[in-house]
Amino acid sequence: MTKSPIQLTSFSACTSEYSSLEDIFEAWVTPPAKVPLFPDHPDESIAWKSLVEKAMEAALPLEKDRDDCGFILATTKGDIAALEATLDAENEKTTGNNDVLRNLDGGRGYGGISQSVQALGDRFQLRGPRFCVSTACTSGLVGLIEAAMMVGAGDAPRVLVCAGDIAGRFVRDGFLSLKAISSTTCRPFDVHRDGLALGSAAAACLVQRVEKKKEKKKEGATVFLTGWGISSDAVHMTAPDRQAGGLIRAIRQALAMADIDAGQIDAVLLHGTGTSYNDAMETVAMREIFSRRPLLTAVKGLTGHTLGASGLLETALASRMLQRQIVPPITGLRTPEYPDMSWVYTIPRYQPLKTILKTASGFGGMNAAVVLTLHDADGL
Amino acid sequence: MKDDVFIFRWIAQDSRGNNKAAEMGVETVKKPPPAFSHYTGRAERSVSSLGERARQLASLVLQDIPAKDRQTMAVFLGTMRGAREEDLIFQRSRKNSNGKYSSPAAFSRTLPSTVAAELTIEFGIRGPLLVFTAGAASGLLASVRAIRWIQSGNISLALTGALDWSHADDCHNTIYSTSYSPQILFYLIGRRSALPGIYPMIQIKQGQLKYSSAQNKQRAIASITHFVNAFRLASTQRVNIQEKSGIGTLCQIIMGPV
Repeated sequence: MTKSPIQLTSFSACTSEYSSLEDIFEAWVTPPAKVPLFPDHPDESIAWKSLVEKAMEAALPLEKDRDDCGFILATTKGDIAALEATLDAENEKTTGNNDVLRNLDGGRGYGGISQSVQALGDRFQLRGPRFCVSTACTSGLVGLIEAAMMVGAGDAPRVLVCAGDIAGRFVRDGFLSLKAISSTTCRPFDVHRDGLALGSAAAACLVQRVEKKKEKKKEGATVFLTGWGISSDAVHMTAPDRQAGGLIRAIRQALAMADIDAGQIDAVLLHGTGTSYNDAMETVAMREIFSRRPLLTAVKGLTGHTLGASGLLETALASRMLQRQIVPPITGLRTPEYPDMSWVYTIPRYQPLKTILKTASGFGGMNAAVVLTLHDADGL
Repeated sequence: MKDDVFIFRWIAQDSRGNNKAAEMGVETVKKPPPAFSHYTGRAERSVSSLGERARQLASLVLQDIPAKDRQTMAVFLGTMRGAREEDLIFQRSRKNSNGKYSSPAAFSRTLPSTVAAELTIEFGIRGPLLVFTAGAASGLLASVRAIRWIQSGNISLALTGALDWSHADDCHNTIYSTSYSPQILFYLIGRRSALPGIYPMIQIKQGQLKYSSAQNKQRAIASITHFVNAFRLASTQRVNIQEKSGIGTLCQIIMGPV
């Protein structure tokens, strides 16, 4: 098990509505009157490129440190416009028209989400190992965990992890067909909730090991990734385990690795999609893990479900919670369905925070959990 | 111990549907029963043809692994376009109905991780599930990452491998290819103590990743024949290096006899 402290720095994030992590956090603390159910992208390819590049640009290491910097892209579908063009062309091809395919990507064809990894890695001159992780809506957290594993095992001294997804027409039609989209607004854990909202976002973060000599010079408080866990429900493709078995296992692994008791968690930033099965499953997990309930919050009522980006975007927001010592309210929650839980709603809570648990779950029964801890310069 | 990682068994299926692991007595194993949902207890909608083949092959690799060992087992797979078939079906259903009656069943399987998730459901695997993409190096990348996870002590056993749609002609070029066919490779990798009743076939000496500007223009499997030859060589007589580059990453595994 990796024991060396893994430091998370240079968090950045942007969505189709908000241009920076600070803007998202401010809107979370003081939510706007109305939140859209879908993002509107006139050109999904441009939207993908601009969101991901913007997030990465803000998290890049110094130029001298890029030569050995690894790069992990976490996404469910990547540049979905390029994928759609390929699918249309391939469907055309089955009817005997090959011309469309010949024009794809200057005649080179479509290389899947790998293509984005290569383009972004080359663009920002990241010359460490690079690859893509795709594990449904847990992709962002799993990408972060993989980066920590690489740094911990010495595969790279630092890794830039970027998570991004575009909730374009392909995705919107899919979730509409599953009847998972709210008809009004996304209200996680609310008795009146009726489904999720979708959002496009990208988030990035630099993961590195703490070097002893730098540690002494460090100023202020820093966020560390102290524990993590990943598990599978092995139950159903689209519905979570009603007993929350997978999520409970992932959280317990993360707590064990962080070497802390559940009682030491100050707040939990839940996945909180606003679908009834997910909300119920997460509530079961919280009841099982915590006897003394930490503050519970969620952000998808504001950002929408940003799919593969959500894990890292919300980890970035959790780092701001630690640094500003605020627990913003669950956007959209007015009347909790499970009133015995310690939900933070309608107004933010200001209280000392040292350790936050962030969880994510996804299609296929995937679950991931990370423990984030705030340390002073001499805290390790 | 850094080198305490072993491959217990492997199986591959080439684009013609031929299985490559006679050592396991593949010919004698029957087709597994239809997939069923542990959630509803009813028969599941049939999985994609790639998923169906993957399920059959995984059932061979996992046939005598006790349920308690599967509960902590991990799945590490590499793929470039593993969800291609469901992507096409979903896109067709969208276009034909102008987005009004898209197929929910196809949509829920349009993720690169779909087949891996189906395997966890089918075989009761409850450990970590990771799906990687790194161009032609995707399959080897999954192996290198599995080795790291085992070495770090996070897991002790993983169902590892690659699955993809490959072209009959030029592996990289989607333009002139006339057909795609599935290729699958699975192997069980782990610490020796993870499966005390099974004697390992291959020992992993080293696995590493590094930056490389070289490119192999193939899909995730990067030629089943390469893997099969490397495994056969390693399990019979000598140490060999399996190496592949994709999208700027060079994956390398050194393996040899136990």
